[in-house]
Amino acid sequence: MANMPVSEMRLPPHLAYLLAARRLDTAKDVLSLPEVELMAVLDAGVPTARAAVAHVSEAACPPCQTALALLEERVRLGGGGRLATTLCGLDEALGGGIPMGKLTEVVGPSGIGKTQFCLKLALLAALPEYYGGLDGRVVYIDTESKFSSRRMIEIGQKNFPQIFRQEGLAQKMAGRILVMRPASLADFTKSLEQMKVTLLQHDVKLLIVDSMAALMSLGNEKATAGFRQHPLRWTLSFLKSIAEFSRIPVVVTNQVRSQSNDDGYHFSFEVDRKDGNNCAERFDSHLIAALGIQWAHAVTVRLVFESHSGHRFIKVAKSPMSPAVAFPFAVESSGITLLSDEGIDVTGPEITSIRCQGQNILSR
Amino acid sequence: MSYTGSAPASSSLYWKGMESSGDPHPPILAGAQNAWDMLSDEQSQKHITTGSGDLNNILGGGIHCKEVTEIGGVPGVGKTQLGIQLAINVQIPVEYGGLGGKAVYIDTEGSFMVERVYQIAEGCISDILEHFPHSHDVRIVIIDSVTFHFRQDFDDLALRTRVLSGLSLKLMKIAKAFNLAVVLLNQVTTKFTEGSFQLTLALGDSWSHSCTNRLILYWNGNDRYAYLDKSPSLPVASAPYAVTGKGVRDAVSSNHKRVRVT
Repeated sequence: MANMPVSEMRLPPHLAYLLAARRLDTAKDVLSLPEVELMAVLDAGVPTARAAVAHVSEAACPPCQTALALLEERVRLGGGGRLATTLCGLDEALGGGIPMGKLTEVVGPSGIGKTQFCLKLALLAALPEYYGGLDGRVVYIDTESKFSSRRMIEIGQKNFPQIFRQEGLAQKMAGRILVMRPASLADFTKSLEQMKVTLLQHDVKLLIVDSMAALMSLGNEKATAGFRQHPLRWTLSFLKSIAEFSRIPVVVTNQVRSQSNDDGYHFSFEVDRKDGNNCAERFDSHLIAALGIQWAHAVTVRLVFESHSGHRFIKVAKSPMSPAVAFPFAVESSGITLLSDEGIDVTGPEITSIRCQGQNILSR
Repeated sequence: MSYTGSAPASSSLYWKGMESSGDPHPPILAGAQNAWDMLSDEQSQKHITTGSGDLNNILGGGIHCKEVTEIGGVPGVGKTQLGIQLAINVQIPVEYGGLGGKAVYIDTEGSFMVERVYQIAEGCISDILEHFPHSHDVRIVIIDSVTFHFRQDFDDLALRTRVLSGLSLKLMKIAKAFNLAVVLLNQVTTKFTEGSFQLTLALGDSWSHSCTNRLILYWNGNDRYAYLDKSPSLPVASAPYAVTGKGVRDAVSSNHKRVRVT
């Protein structure tokens, strides 16, 4: 929308000519200037500048729809706009499964099962529709070389023996999963840009980035938090727009890191009241998700994988659809399975904390 | 959601000054309104209920029309939930004490989920036991969130500040001209103040002046609280609230347990 060229907007001729002459070629060029600056650039008065903004906004504005129309479209498309994970309790909590068109984050300490979860999702998206799949291709971006075809086929064989026993079907399913191993952030960025065009053409139904945090540190050994922000912001924006534009689920995994003094926990009006409790709360859970609070805001659904009390849990920590709830799970030869479909309600600070027992997580 | 615009009220203020306060003299300044008339206007203004009585109380009845209210908080505290609740509540018919208006919801982050909207609408209906008649004008504009795009694409922070201030002026103008409420949802960031890093709303210090009212949603132990941080007429105050299956409601211990969507 922002990059819509002015030349395509069918503006009144004098405006189109004026904008082109001043090299304001896209909607963004025109609309990101405050009125006074626009007047200066166009060398025109207030009415002209306002007319330019009004016409350009009208042309570039995305169409609005009623919520009812959106709901009806969702019903018409079927599948409820979700990718079912086959983990019943989790699917129910998420309103059917991983949402399409949104960014879902899977975060947790290393070795807990994030990649196993992603492998299962990749498989599910490739399956034919009558097995609950999306019957499409999957793009799996593997930044830490964790993707194992053998493991994925094993998961497939254990969960859907009837499909995988058929001749050539295993090959077909595996053939739909495209694995990419970018060597650097620049590689990744280039592939993403390519992808935007090819996603729809090639029937890609799921995009997985495993892991996002590793991507940010590819080639940036000496990155400070400030610098790391910049490539992250662009990638974040781009991933969300890909998801929205192609209506596919985008799943991204994230790592954890230790809390540091730089993390703020309270607003200024709270600090006065809770001086005594600050320290206690901080050390209770010393792990937080990497990539920062901006990332945490941007993801639509956050699934926290954590371990405590001798079990591993998948916790729905952020979701516009559901309250915070946790499910105990285990990793078996058939992949991730829930030990119970009855979720445990989670409230308060437990929602955002990430607990990891019995492992020493060093800060990244 | 299309809307019909009503004519800007500024031209009628000239005449209003003469009629309502009973002052026979012509107004001193065209377009100005005296404080007494403003008071009567304010008192006749309806507020948009948030769904939680405690929250409405600290807001002086609810979200005010003709004003821009900023609502910020950490991820997952319920900003979008409150935004959707307001979009539904503005439609409550006049007979039930509502505004009977339409809502425009501008979603910049993709957090608007229709199934949840449906759930909240049903919750609202079941609590007031009526269907929604056709609404007339747009009475609330919600932007969820105003922060997202400004955080991603602007490298030139000075330009960002200028664009933001232009935006806030326009929104305030719309709020007054069309007599509607503007609600902006904001994210948080950390800031180094008073010797430690603290949470604060995003978009910087100059933005923080732009809104008429500011409400900060935060976690206090296991409960969600709202803190009225800025208001021209109300004292700072906190109130608890809850997000239930039916939407935003008062924080009651166990009665309104949130139901998951099936």
